Amino acid sequence: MNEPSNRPPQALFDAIKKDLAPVKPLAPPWRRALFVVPVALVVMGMPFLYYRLRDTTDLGATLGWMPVAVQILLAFALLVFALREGIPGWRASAGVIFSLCVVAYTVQIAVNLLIFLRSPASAGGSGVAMWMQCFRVESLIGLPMLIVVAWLVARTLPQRPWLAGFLAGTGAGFAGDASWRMFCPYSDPTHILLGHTGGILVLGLTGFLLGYLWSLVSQRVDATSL
Amino acid sequence: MAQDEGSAAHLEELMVGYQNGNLDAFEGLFATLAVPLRNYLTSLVRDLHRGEDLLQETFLQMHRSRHTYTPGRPVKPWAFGIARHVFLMYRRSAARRARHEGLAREDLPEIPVAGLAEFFPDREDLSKALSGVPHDRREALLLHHVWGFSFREIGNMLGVTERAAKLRAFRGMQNLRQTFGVKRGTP
Repeated sequence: MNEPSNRPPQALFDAIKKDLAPVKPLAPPWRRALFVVPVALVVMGMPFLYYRLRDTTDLGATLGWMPVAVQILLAFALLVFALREGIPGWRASAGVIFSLCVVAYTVQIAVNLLIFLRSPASAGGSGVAMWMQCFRVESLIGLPMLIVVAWLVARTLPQRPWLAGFLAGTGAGFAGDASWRMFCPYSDPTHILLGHTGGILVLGLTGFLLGYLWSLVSQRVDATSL
Repeated sequence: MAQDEGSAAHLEELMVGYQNGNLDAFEGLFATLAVPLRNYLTSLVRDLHRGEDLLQETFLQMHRSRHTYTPGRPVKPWAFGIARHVFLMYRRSAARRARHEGLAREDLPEIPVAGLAEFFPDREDLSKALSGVPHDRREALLLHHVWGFSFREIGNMLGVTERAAKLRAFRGMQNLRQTFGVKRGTP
């Protein structure tokens, strides 16, 4: 049998030679995640145009702006992990990702429960309309961030695009929720779970679906291009 | 002083050259990485010719994705990560394939297990024994003992923790020991 050669086969060599051009290496995931910041600032600032900021005097710093900052940091971490999925040989373990998601959801739910205990406010009869509104606004805030991260991930080589999409969607959802909570005056658990946590979950699932669809498309494109 | 061919620093230099559009750097990368990647892919598909096809596909994919390499990071885990991606794509598109083909004798890697070598009668037996090791364990076992990756690097490639990678390799080795009837503590 022929000994395999250490020189590239001629067809491969010719294909590479024909297509070879300098490329700019990608920045590390945390720096690429910063691309989302301008978009995040715009969409997270949009509610200021239409809604009044919630009065946080009864909440104090520990339940006011501090959890918002913590939640934004967790959202950023989720986006970084989404971007890391696109770098071959640099995947995070399922345990780390699962733990991060659990921590993020726990923080979001716990903060809202504490807010409810400190300052209970129910939407009353208009509950369904209110949680629908929160769900809608939160999704609208998160969607542009999800699209930006999805675009950044699509330029790489994710082995688990569905997971990258899920992390991107969840991160965008948490960022959106962090800002929107400062406008939403209601704190009853049903409203929070359906309107706020539900919005985050739906964005995560949207990202998951986007990633899955992208993987189907990219397989076909890979099969036909260099 | 010239760097050793195949050393991490040499590979990084070649990879950066490749990103800058240097064809010689591509040839250097191929010369250095083709053998371990071919062996890795062959161990995954257990078919020498299919392994050769996937090797070429891996280099094409490396070419398409060369911008995803971050200068300063080790090249081998990146390249093996791409090879694994190519294998998974192949496995997805050809879900059902003939099994029990076994590793090619010529390409079968030596497993440097001190003191155990004499218990392996020949490569044929080792090939059969490796075939009996579950896929995920075999992969971790070969990545560590044959291609010399640290468990941290293997974890990053497979998307598992360092500890899980270590456990998989350990259990894979246990499977091999059981197959050859080597008890714990045997030299």
